[in-house]
Amino acid sequence: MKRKSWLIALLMAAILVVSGIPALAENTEPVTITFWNSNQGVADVMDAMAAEYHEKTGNTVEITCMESAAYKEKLAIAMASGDLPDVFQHWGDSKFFSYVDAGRCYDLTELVNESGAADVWLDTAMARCTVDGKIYSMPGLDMMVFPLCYNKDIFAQYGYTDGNVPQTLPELEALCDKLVADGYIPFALANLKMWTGGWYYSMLLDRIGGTSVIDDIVSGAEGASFESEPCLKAAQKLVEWVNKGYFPDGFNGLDHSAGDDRQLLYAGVAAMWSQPSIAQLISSENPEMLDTFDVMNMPWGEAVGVGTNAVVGSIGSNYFSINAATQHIDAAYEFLTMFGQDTYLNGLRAAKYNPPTKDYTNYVSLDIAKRILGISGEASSVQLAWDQYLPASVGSAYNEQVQALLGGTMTPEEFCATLQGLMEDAAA
Amino acid sequence: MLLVIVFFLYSIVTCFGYSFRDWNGMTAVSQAPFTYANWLKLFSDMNFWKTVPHNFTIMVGTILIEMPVSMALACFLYIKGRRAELFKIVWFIPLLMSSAAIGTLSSFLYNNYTGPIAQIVKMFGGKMPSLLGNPDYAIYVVCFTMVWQYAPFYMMYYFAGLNSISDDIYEAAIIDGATRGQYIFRCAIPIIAPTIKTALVLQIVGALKSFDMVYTMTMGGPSGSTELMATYMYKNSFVGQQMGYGSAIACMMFIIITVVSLASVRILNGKERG
Repeated sequence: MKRKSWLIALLMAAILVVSGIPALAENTEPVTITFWNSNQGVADVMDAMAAEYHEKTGNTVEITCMESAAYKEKLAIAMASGDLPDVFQHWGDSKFFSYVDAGRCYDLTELVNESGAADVWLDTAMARCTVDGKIYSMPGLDMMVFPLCYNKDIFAQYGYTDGNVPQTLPELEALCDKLVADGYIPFALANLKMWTGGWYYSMLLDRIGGTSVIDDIVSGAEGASFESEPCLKAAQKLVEWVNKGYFPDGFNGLDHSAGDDRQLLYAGVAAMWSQPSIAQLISSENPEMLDTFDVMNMPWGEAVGVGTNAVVGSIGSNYFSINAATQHIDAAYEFLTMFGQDTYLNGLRAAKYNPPTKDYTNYVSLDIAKRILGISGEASSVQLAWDQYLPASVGSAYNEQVQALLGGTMTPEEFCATLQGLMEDAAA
Repeated sequence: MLLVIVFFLYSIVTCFGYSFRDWNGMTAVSQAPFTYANWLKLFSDMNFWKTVPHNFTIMVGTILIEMPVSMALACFLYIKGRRAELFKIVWFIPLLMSSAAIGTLSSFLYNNYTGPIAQIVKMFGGKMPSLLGNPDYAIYVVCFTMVWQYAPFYMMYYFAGLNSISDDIYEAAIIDGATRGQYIFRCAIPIIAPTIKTALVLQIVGALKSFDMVYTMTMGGPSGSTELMATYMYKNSFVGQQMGYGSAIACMMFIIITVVSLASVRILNGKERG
């Protein structure tokens, strides 16, 4: 009997030892991690970073890179199914908070604090990676803001030279009226994919009612509502702009992804345009025209006055998280830290991006990029685009409602009531 | 049978199960509370019910345009035989392109400032209206593009049907003094009636569950004028993170498509018997 017990004990010990071998081996053998992102503009930088990572660690990175809209869809499906890659990109938006709530993002707090990986990044960028004091992602791609880009030659025809631009909304409107009369399109808007039109309403509301209006609505402050007077006024103003011909004919059928808006800008048909990544787009698509354009902030609304100079944008633009269910946390984190190292940062800078590092001012080379950063530096706040800022179920619907408002199929009153209804549904 | 259970029945039953959950698609579905709210919301959601006529517009458009066009092309290929090989290849090309590529290509084609159609109109001193940007036209433009892509499929379908007709019938008709036109309309088309019936059902189902091309072309806009049941379901499920509600929409789509398909089969069978 005793002998039998000894034999069983020996067998168990042998099983334990043998079963431990693969675990030990797993720690030393190279692994392959998967990484999804939507930064096609810097795909070569990502590849170089992955190559360096492979050289350093022996591990391999399988990169999946796709167009931004397609990526958002793919990520949403992966989030729903739980079939996420080891490392993935997101926008640090309201959806990121829901990813964290659902336990999809690895808590990086301990790893980041031990490694000091956060030291390279601006505090404002790291703040967007943090939820309830815990770090769930790392920056970043670009210090991205949406200024108004304008054609200096066209502005000069109306006396706006040497950086002199309209200072108030009425002054801007007076200029737009003259532009329309002379056959120019004031704003190059291509709103087929819907998100581009959302900026105009958000900016008008900010300039008409101040930044607190949307902040109060999102935070659920008492009495805050999309049906309030400033929201309605902003919607009425936007409709007025459409009726006065400030946007191209059929703007809801023009596609930003296909460059329809930039073509109007480059052809000198349109005078102004607002998008993120203006400097990168012009320098890659039409570098010889870089000197033709300058940037300004949306002018102040007289009712609110000077100081309402918030900009829409994101200090970091893209953020990277690790799948909480990854089997390769060490390998994935080591890869994540490379986003704060030279290969990646210098690659971005060469492509005219401004990663949100503490020393970013040393690396901005394009004049227009410096002025864009100047605008964000002077801004009272940098607000996420509303399709990211509003709750997820409202965000995409917001863009659709703005498209309907711009297209004249919805009145300002209906627009405000619909948004308020969506906010109430989301809160419920 | 196992495949049917795994890929068909299981999916449908699961989807119905999800439709009774207040689920955002990210938490464990078992933790999501049970609710009837998704179905109650669906019945009162006018945005969803507005999408149904859009699907029916596409369905009618594809049947009225796609079927005669593809039949005409198939008859041309059938009559011309080997001499029409080149046409067969060229006309088949749209079907080989992905819907996403066609969606992107068409937004360039229909651009009212810089697109090729706009340039031609401009050459003649005209100004092209916005096709995709106008809620009154957009659904028809989408429908036209879908016909352009899928007509080759039905062309080949009908062509295969025509080719399956025995040569003896053709020879007998010609000996009896029939012209080629009479042979096509009075002999060939009635003979391939079962093929046409199947193609019609496929077109109806295809139109009711359309998604990819519309999503890449217009994303359901402008102002929801091209929003279809499937795009609305997708937006709610994956963009709006309302997976429970999206599942309810998917179930309603399943019910509508099943009812319409069965009704159309019944009507077509009835006509055949009559």
